[in-house]
Amino acid sequence: MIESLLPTRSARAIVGWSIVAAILVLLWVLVDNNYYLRLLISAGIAMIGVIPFGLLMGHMGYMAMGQGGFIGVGAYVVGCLTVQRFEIDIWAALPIAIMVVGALAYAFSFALFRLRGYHFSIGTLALGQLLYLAFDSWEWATGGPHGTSGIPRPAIGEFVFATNSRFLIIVSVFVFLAGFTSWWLARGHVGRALNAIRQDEDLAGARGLDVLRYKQLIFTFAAVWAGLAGGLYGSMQISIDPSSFTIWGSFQYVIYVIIGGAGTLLGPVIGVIFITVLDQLIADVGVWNQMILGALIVITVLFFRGGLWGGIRMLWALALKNRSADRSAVSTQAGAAE
Amino acid sequence: MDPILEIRDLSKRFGGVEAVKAVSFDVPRGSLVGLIGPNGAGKTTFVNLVSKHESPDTGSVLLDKRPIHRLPSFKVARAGLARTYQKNRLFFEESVSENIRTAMIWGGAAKHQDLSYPGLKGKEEERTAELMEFFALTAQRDALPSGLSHLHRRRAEVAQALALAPKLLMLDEPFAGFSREEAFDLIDHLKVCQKGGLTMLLIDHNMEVMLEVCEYLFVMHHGALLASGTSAEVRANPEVINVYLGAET
Ligand SMILES: Nc1ncnc2c1ncn2[C@@H]1O[C@H](COP(=O)(O)OP(=O)(O)OP(=O)(O)O)[C@@H](O)[C@H]1O
Ligand SMILES: [Mg+2]
Repeated sequence: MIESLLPTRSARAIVGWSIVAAILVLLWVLVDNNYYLRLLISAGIAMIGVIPFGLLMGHMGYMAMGQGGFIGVGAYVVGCLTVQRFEIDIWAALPIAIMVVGALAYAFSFALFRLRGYHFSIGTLALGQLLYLAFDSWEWATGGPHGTSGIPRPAIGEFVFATNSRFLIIVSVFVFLAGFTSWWLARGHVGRALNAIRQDEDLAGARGLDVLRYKQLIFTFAAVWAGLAGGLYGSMQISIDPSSFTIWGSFQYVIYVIIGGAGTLLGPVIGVIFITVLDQLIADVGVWNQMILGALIVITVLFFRGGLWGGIRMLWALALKNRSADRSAVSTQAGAAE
Repeated sequence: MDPILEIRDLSKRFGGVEAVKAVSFDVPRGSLVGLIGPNGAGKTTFVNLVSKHESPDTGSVLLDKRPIHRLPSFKVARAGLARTYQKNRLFFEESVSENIRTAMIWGGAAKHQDLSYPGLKGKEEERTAELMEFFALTAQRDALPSGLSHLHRRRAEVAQALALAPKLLMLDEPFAGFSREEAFDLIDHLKVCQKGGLTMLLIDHNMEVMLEVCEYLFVMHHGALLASGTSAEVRANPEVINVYLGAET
């Protein structure tokens, strides 16, 4: 039925990601409370960074643990350009932030992709830590431990996205763009290449694939979106300091992908929603919430290799099978009655 | 002799192990040559160096007069040198036909006009179908590698390597686990490709088969080239006899 309404795959992708973005905005109507509204924005910003990151970690199988650093660079470049050292418009600062993060990620990718497996993870972890130290010590650009404050909200003409409800709209638009561009990149030959790299990258090279180029492309793509997420985060928070861009931020991206489902585009979205809701539910139990989260990760890794999204799809397939089994049972009964 | 592959002074060391020691030899165009040697002689490492899975410490490799030892592995593959693996390797999540087609796409369109073995002419779909038919894999086209018999998996691997339309194919122990009949069945297929202009370097432990099939043999021992010659010459070489009697039961 979906196929007949939306005949092309790109039409389905556009509609699908629009729905995700629209849900985010519509939830605001339901919550109508500034605390939850900020949670929605945070979740949206996390999605912007983590959907493209899913291509790197899930599709390609490279678990980068330094995304927090790229988020920070995005946030600080915006902070430095809009308030700390210059006073340019945030709409100009965001693209510059993206270019800086992209250039940085591309430059480091040469060294990082000499590493594989957990060596790569450790390498990216070190890069994230290095960037964190830079945020903390390069006072001229970042304001050091005190950070940068007064980062503006974007505006279109007279319309300033100053209130959180307005800001959520911008975030939703970028969630759509992150989802759609990731889908667009992963369909066809890039997706085939990423899957092959995850399965056996030496074999892919021996069969003529320029493995390094695809790795660098995806690493830079994921970093750019993390940088944009960081720029938006800075704008949402108004003031930022190094404590927001630690290893924990990098680690959270990894958790979103594992819990939601690696190797799918919607998995990381589900992961963000699940963790956000869970955080609220177990916020009151103190230290136990970290343990509950840890236990859930272990359970997911052990029993649900496809994460929550994989689980949902499995149940869905089972339900469909049962339904068709019921139907065929009914029709054989009908046949027997005749 | 018109060599398609010229190896000069190729060496590789892993810590204390000299896996390949100053190996030099030429492979004549259109030939089927063998590379033999006891376990740990350095045969697989040699193939890895030529296909650039590993970088040689010293030495050079010319394919059709073109230096390829500084190219990354994907460029070596596109230059016309394909290989298979001692331990079977295919993309385990892709079907047989996808495995073959993928190599075809990445390797670039068949560009070696002087070749004429199966799977070179026409569009990707036709070429894939022709290769699968040639190796009697048509019934397995949608199967995953894990669902294939050992025989079919080996064939699929060779088909995938041939999908690159190589000038030179290096096969690392393709007959391991094969009966004599199965080995000769694969050899018959390879001979068809040889008639179509493919040059092959074959590695195997089955001396009986190797001496019978290969036109020329190179013998490695402890990383170095110990001897080379026709099968009659190699069979009569006292050093080779010594190494094989010493190392193999
Ligand atoms: N990556 C590596 N690191 C360290 N040592 C290695 C590596 N690869 C190979 N070697 C060593 O190099 C030597 C040659 O190994 P290689 O696998 O090339 O031999 P082979 O002739 O293919 O043997 P076989 O007949 O058992 O396949 C061995 O001593 C092996 O242990
Ligand atoms: Mg070997």
